[in-house]
Amino acid sequence: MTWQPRLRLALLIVAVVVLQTTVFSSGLRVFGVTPDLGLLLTIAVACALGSERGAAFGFVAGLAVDLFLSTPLGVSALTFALVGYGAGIAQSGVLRPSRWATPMMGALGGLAGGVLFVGIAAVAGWEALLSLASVRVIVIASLYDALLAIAVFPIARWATRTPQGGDRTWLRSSTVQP
Amino acid sequence: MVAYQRTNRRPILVLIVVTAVALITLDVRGSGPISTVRGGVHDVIDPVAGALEAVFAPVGDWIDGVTSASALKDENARLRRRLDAARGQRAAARAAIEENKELKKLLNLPFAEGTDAIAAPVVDGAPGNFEVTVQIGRGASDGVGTDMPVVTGAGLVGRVIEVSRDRATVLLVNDPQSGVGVKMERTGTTGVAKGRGDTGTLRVDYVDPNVEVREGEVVSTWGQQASPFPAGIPLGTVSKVTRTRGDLEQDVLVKPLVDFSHLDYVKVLRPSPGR
Repeated sequence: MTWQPRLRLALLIVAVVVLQTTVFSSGLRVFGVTPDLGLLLTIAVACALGSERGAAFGFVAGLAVDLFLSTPLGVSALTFALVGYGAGIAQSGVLRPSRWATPMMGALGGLAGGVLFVGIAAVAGWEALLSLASVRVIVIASLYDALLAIAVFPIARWATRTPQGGDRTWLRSSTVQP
Repeated sequence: MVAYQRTNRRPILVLIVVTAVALITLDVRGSGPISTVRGGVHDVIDPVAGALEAVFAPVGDWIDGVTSASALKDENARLRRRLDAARGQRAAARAAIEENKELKKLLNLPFAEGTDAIAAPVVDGAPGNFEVTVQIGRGASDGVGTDMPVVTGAGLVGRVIEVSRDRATVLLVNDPQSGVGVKMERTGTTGVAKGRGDTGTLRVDYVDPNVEVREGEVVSTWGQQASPFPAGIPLGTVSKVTRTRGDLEQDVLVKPLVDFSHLDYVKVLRPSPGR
Protein backbone atom coordinates (compact mmCIF):
# COMPACT_ATOMS: atom_id res chain seq x y z
CA MET A 1 0.00 0.00 0.00
CA THR A 2 1.32 3.46 -0.87
CA TRP A 3 1.62 6.15 1.77
CA GLN A 4 -1.47 8.13 0.74
CA PRO A 5 -4.08 5.48 1.69
CA ARG A 6 -2.17 4.76 4.92
CA LEU A 7 -2.15 8.46 5.83
CA ARG A 8 -5.83 8.82 5.00
CA LEU A 9 -6.71 5.76 7.12
CA ALA A 10 -4.61 7.05 10.04
CA LEU A 11 -6.38 10.42 9.88
CA LEU A 12 -9.73 8.65 9.72
CA ILE A 13 -8.91 6.76 12.92
CA VAL A 14 -8.10 10.04 14.68
CA ALA A 15 -11.32 11.64 13.36
CA VAL A 16 -13.40 8.64 14.46
CA VAL A 17 -11.92 8.69 17.96
CA VAL A 18 -12.54 12.43 18.34
CA LEU A 19 -16.14 12.14 17.09
CA GLN A 20 -16.84 9.06 19.21
CA THR A 21 -15.54 10.68 22.40
CA THR A 22 -17.23 14.04 21.87
CA VAL A 23 -20.19 14.48 19.55
CA PHE A 24 -21.52 10.91 19.77
CA SER A 25 -20.78 10.37 23.47
CA SER A 26 -23.25 12.97 24.69
CA GLY A 27 -25.38 14.72 22.09
CA LEU A 28 -25.93 12.25 19.27
CA ARG A 29 -27.12 9.30 21.35
CA VAL A 30 -30.35 7.68 20.20
CA PHE A 31 -32.36 6.17 23.09
CA GLY A 32 -29.20 6.53 25.16
CA VAL A 33 -27.10 4.50 22.73
CA THR A 34 -24.14 5.63 20.64
CA PRO A 35 -23.04 4.04 17.34
CA ASP A 36 -19.68 2.33 17.12
CA LEU A 37 -17.90 4.43 14.51
CA GLY A 38 -14.56 2.62 14.85
CA LEU A 39 -16.22 -0.74 14.25
CA LEU A 40 -18.14 0.61 11.25
CA LEU A 41 -14.98 2.01 9.71
CA THR A 42 -13.23 -1.32 10.28
CA ILE A 43 -16.02 -3.20 8.48
CA ALA A 44 -15.91 -0.73 5.59
CA VAL A 45 -12.12 -0.98 5.29
CA ALA A 46 -12.27 -4.79 5.49
CA CYS A 47 -14.80 -4.80 2.64
CA ALA A 48 -12.43 -2.69 0.54
CA LEU A 49 -9.11 -4.32 1.43
CA GLY A 50 -9.92 -7.86 2.50
CA SER A 51 -9.95 -9.85 5.71
CA GLU A 52 -6.26 -9.69 6.60
CA ARG A 53 -5.87 -5.93 6.28
CA GLY A 54 -9.32 -5.48 7.77
CA ALA A 55 -8.18 -7.34 10.89
CA ALA A 56 -4.96 -5.30 11.13
CA PHE A 57 -6.84 -2.01 10.67
CA GLY A 58 -9.44 -3.11 13.22
CA PHE A 59 -6.73 -3.87 15.76
CA VAL A 60 -5.21 -0.38 15.43
CA ALA A 61 -8.58 1.41 15.40
CA GLY A 62 -9.77 -0.63 18.37
CA LEU A 63 -6.64 0.20 20.35
CA ALA A 64 -7.23 3.91 19.71
CA VAL A 65 -10.83 3.62 20.93
CA ASP A 66 -9.75 1.51 23.94
CA LEU A 67 -7.63 4.41 25.22
CA PHE A 68 -10.87 6.27 26.00
CA LEU A 69 -12.91 3.44 27.54
CA SER A 70 -12.93 2.17 31.10
CA THR A 71 -12.88 -1.46 29.93
CA PRO A 72 -9.40 -3.07 29.65
CA LEU A 73 -7.12 -1.93 26.84
CA GLY A 74 -7.34 -4.50 24.04
CA VAL A 75 -11.02 -5.48 24.30
CA SER A 76 -12.12 -3.22 21.43
CA ALA A 77 -8.89 -4.01 19.54
CA LEU A 78 -9.62 -7.75 19.64
CA THR A 79 -13.31 -7.21 18.85
CA PHE A 80 -12.63 -4.95 15.86
CA ALA A 81 -9.89 -7.26 14.53
CA LEU A 82 -12.17 -10.31 14.62
CA VAL A 83 -15.09 -8.43 13.07
CA GLY A 84 -12.79 -6.94 10.41
CA TYR A 85 -11.52 -10.40 9.54
CA GLY A 86 -15.06 -11.77 9.33
CA ALA A 87 -16.32 -8.83 7.28
CA GLY A 88 -13.50 -9.30 4.76
CA ILE A 89 -14.41 -12.95 4.31
CA ALA A 90 -18.13 -12.21 4.10
CA GLN A 91 -17.64 -9.48 1.53
CA SER A 92 -15.45 -11.63 -0.72
CA GLY A 93 -17.46 -14.82 -0.64
CA VAL A 94 -20.83 -14.65 1.03
CA LEU A 95 -22.64 -11.37 0.38
CA ARG A 96 -23.89 -10.45 -3.07
CA PRO A 97 -23.75 -6.80 -4.13
CA SER A 98 -27.09 -5.06 -3.66
CA ARG A 99 -28.41 -1.73 -2.48
CA TRP A 100 -28.98 -3.25 0.97
CA ALA A 101 -25.51 -4.79 1.27
CA THR A 102 -23.97 -1.73 2.96
CA PRO A 103 -26.54 -1.21 5.76
CA MET A 104 -26.74 -4.99 6.19
CA MET A 105 -22.99 -5.18 6.71
CA GLY A 106 -23.26 -2.32 9.21
CA ALA A 107 -26.07 -4.02 11.14
CA LEU A 108 -24.57 -7.52 11.14
CA GLY A 109 -21.11 -6.16 11.99
CA GLY A 110 -22.61 -4.06 14.79
CA LEU A 111 -24.42 -7.10 16.21
CA ALA A 112 -21.33 -9.31 15.99
CA GLY A 113 -19.12 -6.56 17.43
CA GLY A 114 -21.47 -5.91 20.34
CA VAL A 115 -21.74 -9.60 21.24
CA LEU A 116 -17.97 -10.10 20.94
CA PHE A 117 -17.20 -6.98 23.02
CA VAL A 118 -19.50 -8.07 25.85
CA GLY A 119 -18.16 -11.63 25.71
CA ILE A 120 -14.49 -10.62 25.75
CA ALA A 121 -15.05 -7.98 28.46
CA ALA A 122 -16.91 -10.56 30.58
CA VAL A 123 -14.00 -12.98 30.32
CA ALA A 124 -11.67 -10.12 31.37
CA GLY A 125 -13.69 -9.58 34.56
CA TRP A 126 -16.50 -7.27 33.41
CA GLU A 127 -19.09 -10.05 33.84
CA ALA A 128 -21.73 -7.50 34.88
CA LEU A 129 -22.08 -6.70 31.18
CA LEU A 130 -23.79 -10.07 30.65
CA SER A 131 -27.28 -8.66 31.08
CA LEU A 132 -30.53 -7.98 29.23
CA ALA A 133 -29.64 -4.28 29.19
CA SER A 134 -26.63 -5.15 27.02
CA VAL A 135 -28.89 -6.96 24.53
CA ARG A 136 -31.03 -3.81 24.15
CA VAL A 137 -27.91 -1.68 23.68
CA ILE A 138 -26.44 -4.06 21.07
CA VAL A 139 -29.67 -4.15 19.03
CA ILE A 140 -30.14 -0.34 19.01
CA ALA A 141 -26.44 0.25 18.28
CA SER A 142 -26.50 -2.16 15.34
CA LEU A 143 -29.51 -0.35 13.81
CA TYR A 144 -27.70 2.97 14.30
CA ASP A 145 -24.60 1.41 12.69
CA ALA A 146 -26.69 0.25 9.71
CA LEU A 147 -27.87 3.81 9.14
CA LEU A 148 -24.42 5.38 9.45
CA ALA A 149 -22.84 2.68 7.25
CA ILE A 150 -24.38 4.45 4.25
CA ALA A 151 -22.10 7.42 4.98
CA VAL A 152 -19.05 5.60 6.35
CA PHE A 153 -18.57 3.08 3.51
CA PRO A 154 -18.03 5.73 0.78
CA ILE A 155 -15.54 7.51 3.06
CA ALA A 156 -13.64 4.25 3.54
CA ARG A 157 -13.67 3.63 -0.23
CA TRP A 158 -12.21 7.10 -0.77
CA ALA A 159 -9.56 6.53 1.90
CA THR A 160 -8.45 3.16 0.47
CA ARG A 161 -8.38 4.14 -3.20
CA THR A 162 -5.12 3.90 -5.07
CA PRO A 163 -3.41 6.91 -6.67
CA GLN A 164 -4.64 5.60 -10.03
CA GLY A 165 -8.15 5.02 -8.72
CA GLY A 166 -10.30 2.05 -9.62
CA ASP A 167 -9.59 -1.47 -8.50
CA ARG A 168 -8.34 -1.87 -4.94
CA THR A 169 -7.83 -5.61 -5.02
CA TRP A 170 -4.10 -5.13 -5.62
CA LEU A 171 -3.89 -3.92 -2.05
CA ARG A 172 -4.80 -7.34 -0.77
CA SER A 173 -1.67 -9.25 0.12
CA SER A 174 -3.34 -12.66 0.16
CA THR A 175 -4.52 -13.09 -3.39
CA VAL A 176 -4.82 -16.32 -5.33
CA GLN A 177 -3.55 -16.06 -8.87
CA PRO A 178 -4.22 -19.06 -11.10
CA MET B 1 1.72 -24.73 -15.13
CA VAL B 2 -0.44 -23.00 -12.57
CA ALA B 3 1.37 -20.86 -10.00
CA TYR B 4 -0.35 -19.98 -6.76
CA GLN B 5 0.87 -16.91 -4.89
CA ARG B 6 -0.65 -17.07 -1.49
CA THR B 7 0.39 -15.86 1.92
CA ASN B 8 -0.91 -17.58 4.99
CA ARG B 9 -3.53 -15.40 6.71
CA ARG B 10 -3.93 -17.15 10.00
CA PRO B 11 -0.55 -16.31 11.61
CA ILE B 12 -1.38 -12.59 11.36
CA LEU B 13 -4.77 -13.10 12.99
CA VAL B 14 -3.17 -15.28 15.66
CA LEU B 15 -0.55 -12.58 16.28
CA ILE B 16 -3.27 -9.93 16.69
CA VAL B 17 -5.27 -12.13 19.07
CA VAL B 18 -2.21 -12.96 21.19
CA THR B 19 -1.18 -9.27 21.36
CA ALA B 20 -4.69 -8.17 22.33
CA VAL B 21 -4.97 -10.84 25.02
CA ALA B 22 -1.56 -9.79 26.41
CA LEU B 23 -2.68 -6.12 26.53
CA ILE B 24 -5.96 -7.02 28.24
CA THR B 25 -4.09 -9.09 30.83
CA LEU B 26 -1.59 -6.30 31.50
CA ASP B 27 -4.33 -3.69 31.90
CA VAL B 28 -6.50 -5.87 34.16
CA ARG B 29 -3.47 -6.37 36.41
CA GLY B 30 -2.97 -2.60 36.58
CA SER B 31 0.02 -1.82 34.40
CA GLY B 32 1.37 1.70 35.05
CA PRO B 33 2.60 2.49 31.50
CA ILE B 34 -0.88 1.86 30.07
CA SER B 35 -2.39 4.50 32.39
CA THR B 36 0.38 6.91 31.40
CA VAL B 37 -0.30 6.37 27.69
CA ARG B 38 -4.04 6.84 28.26
CA GLY B 39 -3.44 10.13 30.10
CA GLY B 40 -1.08 11.39 27.38
CA VAL B 41 -3.55 10.64 24.58
CA HIS B 42 -6.31 12.42 26.51
CA ASP B 43 -4.08 15.50 26.87
CA VAL B 44 -3.71 15.67 23.06
CA ILE B 45 -7.36 15.00 22.19
CA ASP B 46 -9.08 17.05 24.94
CA PRO B 47 -8.58 20.55 23.40
CA VAL B 48 -10.04 19.35 20.07
CA ALA B 49 -12.90 17.68 21.95
CA GLY B 50 -13.74 20.89 23.78
CA ALA B 51 -14.04 22.84 20.53
CA LEU B 52 -16.23 20.17 18.87
CA GLU B 53 -18.61 20.00 21.82
CA ALA B 54 -19.39 23.70 21.53
CA VAL B 55 -20.14 23.33 17.81
CA PHE B 56 -22.36 20.21 18.00
CA ALA B 57 -24.21 20.86 21.28
CA PRO B 58 -27.37 22.33 19.58
CA VAL B 59 -27.62 19.30 17.22
CA GLY B 60 -27.39 16.94 20.18
CA ASP B 61 -30.08 18.84 22.08
CA TRP B 62 -32.41 18.56 19.09
CA ILE B 63 -31.92 14.78 18.74
CA ASP B 64 -32.40 14.35 22.48
CA GLY B 65 -35.67 16.26 22.26
CA VAL B 66 -36.95 14.14 19.34
CA THR B 67 -36.08 10.76 20.86
CA SER B 68 -37.48 11.56 24.30
CA ALA B 69 -40.60 13.61 23.40
CA SER B 70 -43.19 11.25 24.95
CA ALA B 71 -41.09 10.74 28.05
CA LEU B 72 -40.80 14.52 28.41
CA LYS B 73 -44.60 14.94 28.37
CA ASP B 74 -45.02 12.39 31.16
CA GLU B 75 -42.17 13.94 33.09
CA ASN B 76 -43.74 17.39 32.70
CA ALA B 77 -47.05 16.26 34.21
CA ARG B 78 -45.26 14.46 37.02
CA LEU B 79 -43.10 17.49 37.75
CA ARG B 80 -46.17 19.77 37.95
CA ARG B 81 -47.69 17.52 40.60
CA ARG B 82 -44.42 17.43 42.47
CA LEU B 83 -44.09 21.21 42.30
CA ASP B 84 -47.41 21.66 44.10
CA ALA B 85 -46.32 19.29 46.83
CA ALA B 86 -42.89 20.88 47.04
CA ARG B 87 -44.32 24.34 47.66
CA GLY B 88 -45.92 23.08 50.84
CA GLN B 89 -42.74 21.42 51.98
CA ARG B 90 -40.57 24.42 51.24
CA ALA B 91 -41.04 26.19 54.52
CA ALA B 92 -40.34 23.03 56.50
CA ALA B 93 -37.31 22.31 54.33
CA ARG B 94 -35.76 25.70 55.08
CA ALA B 95 -35.88 24.99 58.78
CA ALA B 96 -34.48 21.49 58.19
CA ILE B 97 -31.60 22.85 56.10
CA GLU B 98 -30.59 25.23 58.86
CA GLU B 99 -30.77 22.42 61.38
CA ASN B 100 -28.81 20.14 59.07
CA LYS B 101 -26.01 22.72 58.70
CA GLU B 102 -25.69 22.96 62.44
CA LEU B 103 -25.64 19.18 62.87
CA LYS B 104 -23.00 18.78 60.19
CA LYS B 105 -20.81 21.31 61.94
CA LEU B 106 -21.20 19.39 65.17
CA LEU B 107 -20.54 15.97 63.71
CA ASN B 108 -17.78 17.19 61.38
CA LEU B 109 -18.78 14.79 58.58
CA PRO B 110 -16.45 14.71 55.56
CA PHE B 111 -19.44 15.35 53.29
CA ALA B 112 -20.27 18.59 55.14
CA GLU B 113 -19.37 22.09 54.11
CA GLY B 114 -15.75 23.02 54.47
CA THR B 115 -14.41 19.78 53.02
CA ASP B 116 -11.63 20.37 50.51
CA ALA B 117 -13.55 19.99 47.26
CA ILE B 118 -13.00 20.89 43.61
CA ALA B 119 -16.05 22.03 41.64
CA ALA B 120 -16.07 20.63 38.10
CA PRO B 121 -18.40 20.90 35.11
CA VAL B 122 -19.57 17.69 33.43
CA VAL B 123 -18.39 18.05 29.84
CA ASP B 124 -19.11 14.68 28.21
CA GLY B 125 -20.77 11.32 28.60
CA ALA B 126 -19.29 7.88 28.09
CA PRO B 127 -17.71 7.23 24.67
CA GLY B 128 -19.00 3.65 24.64
CA ASN B 129 -22.28 1.87 25.30
CA PHE B 130 -21.13 -0.52 27.99
CA GLU B 131 -19.94 1.85 30.69
CA VAL B 132 -21.61 4.53 32.78
CA THR B 133 -19.06 7.30 33.06
CA VAL B 134 -18.85 11.07 32.61
CA GLN B 135 -15.98 13.35 31.72
CA ILE B 136 -15.42 16.33 34.00
CA GLY B 137 -13.58 19.50 33.07
CA ARG B 138 -10.97 19.33 35.84
CA GLY B 139 -7.84 17.21 35.83
CA ALA B 140 -4.47 16.63 37.43
CA SER B 141 -3.55 20.32 37.02
CA ASP B 142 -6.48 21.19 39.33
CA GLY B 143 -5.50 18.60 41.92
CA VAL B 144 -7.89 15.83 40.83
CA GLY B 145 -6.53 12.31 41.37
CA THR B 146 -7.73 8.76 40.80
CA ASP B 147 -10.11 7.21 43.32
CA MET B 148 -11.31 10.58 44.63
CA PRO B 149 -15.04 10.55 45.47
CA VAL B 150 -17.34 12.72 43.38
CA VAL B 151 -20.56 14.18 44.79
CA THR B 152 -23.34 16.65 44.14
CA GLY B 153 -25.42 18.42 46.74
CA ALA B 154 -27.79 15.42 46.66
CA GLY B 155 -25.21 12.74 47.38
CA LEU B 156 -22.64 10.37 45.93
CA VAL B 157 -22.03 10.40 42.16
CA GLY B 158 -19.05 8.06 41.81
CA ARG B 159 -15.27 8.09 41.84
CA VAL B 160 -12.49 9.27 39.55
CA ILE B 161 -10.95 6.40 37.56
CA GLU B 162 -8.80 8.19 34.96
CA VAL B 163 -7.06 11.57 35.04
CA SER B 164 -5.43 13.63 32.31
CA ARG B 165 -4.03 17.14 32.65
CA ASP B 166 -7.31 19.04 32.27
CA ARG B 167 -9.96 16.33 32.45
CA ALA B 168 -10.97 13.30 34.44
CA THR B 169 -13.23 10.29 33.93
CA VAL B 170 -15.73 9.53 36.68
CA LEU B 171 -17.19 6.03 37.08
CA LEU B 172 -20.76 6.58 38.24
CA VAL B 173 -22.18 4.45 41.04
CA ASN B 174 -24.75 2.97 38.64
CA ASP B 175 -22.05 1.49 36.39
CA PRO B 176 -22.20 -2.33 36.61
CA GLN B 177 -18.50 -2.35 37.57
CA SER B 178 -19.01 0.04 40.47
CA GLY B 179 -19.16 -1.25 44.04
CA VAL B 180 -19.61 0.98 47.10
CA GLY B 181 -19.54 -0.17 50.70
CA VAL B 182 -22.76 1.14 52.24
CA LYS B 183 -24.55 1.30 55.56
CA MET B 184 -28.29 1.50 56.24
CA GLU B 185 -28.72 4.53 58.46
CA ARG B 186 -31.63 3.14 60.56
CA THR B 187 -30.46 -0.40 61.19
CA GLY B 188 -26.72 0.09 60.79
CA THR B 189 -26.44 -3.05 58.67
CA THR B 190 -23.88 -2.96 55.85
CA GLY B 191 -23.55 -4.21 52.28
CA VAL B 192 -22.04 -3.43 48.88
CA ALA B 193 -24.08 -1.29 46.46
CA LYS B 194 -23.54 -2.40 42.86
CA GLY B 195 -24.58 -0.49 39.73
CA ARG B 196 -27.28 -1.80 37.39
CA GLY B 197 -26.76 0.48 34.39
CA ASP B 198 -29.75 2.56 33.33
CA THR B 199 -32.30 0.64 35.42
CA GLY B 200 -32.53 3.54 37.88
CA THR B 201 -31.66 1.48 40.95
CA LEU B 202 -28.59 -0.01 42.65
CA ARG B 203 -28.51 -3.50 44.14
CA VAL B 204 -27.07 -3.93 47.63
CA ASP B 205 -25.35 -7.29 48.10
CA TYR B 206 -24.35 -9.10 51.29
CA VAL B 207 -27.14 -7.65 53.47
CA ASP B 208 -27.72 -9.74 56.61
CA PRO B 209 -31.06 -11.58 56.11
CA ASN B 210 -31.83 -11.37 59.84
CA VAL B 211 -31.97 -7.55 59.83
CA GLU B 212 -35.26 -5.95 58.90
CA VAL B 213 -34.47 -3.40 56.19
CA ARG B 214 -37.42 -1.11 55.39
CA GLU B 215 -38.34 0.70 52.20
CA GLY B 216 -37.49 4.39 52.40
CA GLU B 217 -34.50 3.79 54.66
CA VAL B 218 -31.56 6.10 53.88
CA VAL B 219 -28.37 4.43 52.63
CA SER B 220 -24.97 6.15 52.97
CA THR B 221 -21.36 5.23 52.36
CA TRP B 222 -19.87 3.00 55.00
CA GLY B 223 -16.30 4.31 54.85
CA GLN B 224 -14.24 1.17 55.44
CA GLN B 225 -10.51 1.70 55.68
CA ALA B 226 -9.73 0.43 52.15
CA SER B 227 -12.62 2.30 50.52
CA PRO B 228 -12.05 5.54 48.58
CA PHE B 229 -15.37 6.84 49.92
CA PRO B 230 -15.47 8.50 53.34
CA ALA B 231 -18.32 7.53 55.65
CA GLY B 232 -21.63 9.35 55.64
CA ILE B 233 -22.09 10.42 52.02
CA PRO B 234 -25.78 9.86 51.20
CA LEU B 235 -26.28 7.41 48.34
CA GLY B 236 -30.02 6.77 48.13
CA THR B 237 -33.10 5.32 49.74
CA VAL B 238 -34.23 1.69 49.86
CA SER B 239 -36.88 1.20 47.17
CA LYS B 240 -37.51 -2.55 47.38
CA VAL B 241 -36.68 -5.37 49.77
CA THR B 242 -37.12 -9.05 48.94
CA ARG B 243 -36.50 -11.73 51.53
CA THR B 244 -36.47 -15.39 50.58
CA ARG B 245 -36.50 -17.92 53.38
CA GLY B 246 -33.28 -19.82 53.64
CA ASP B 247 -31.23 -17.33 51.60
CA LEU B 248 -27.96 -16.11 53.06
CA GLU B 249 -28.72 -12.52 52.10
CA GLN B 250 -31.73 -10.38 51.19
CA ASP B 251 -32.30 -8.54 47.92
CA VAL B 252 -32.24 -4.80 48.51
CA LEU B 253 -32.69 -2.21 45.76
CA VAL B 254 -31.73 1.41 46.33
CA LYS B 255 -32.91 4.44 44.37
CA PRO B 256 -30.01 6.92 44.11
CA LEU B 257 -30.54 10.46 45.34
CA VAL B 258 -28.56 11.89 42.43
CA ASP B 259 -30.28 12.31 39.04
CA PHE B 260 -27.58 10.95 36.74
CA SER B 261 -29.37 12.07 33.59
CA HIS B 262 -28.98 15.74 34.52
CA LEU B 263 -25.46 16.10 35.86
CA ASP B 264 -24.13 19.56 35.10
CA TYR B 265 -21.73 20.28 37.94
CA VAL B 266 -20.12 17.98 40.50
CA LYS B 267 -17.63 18.25 43.32
CA VAL B 268 -14.51 16.14 43.64
CA LEU B 269 -13.65 15.52 47.30
CA ARG B 270 -9.98 15.61 48.16
CA PRO B 271 -9.09 13.23 50.98
CA SER B 272 -7.90 14.85 54.17
CA PRO B 273 -4.18 14.29 54.93
CA GLY B 274 -5.02 11.85 57.70
CA ARG B 275 -6.79 9.38 55.42
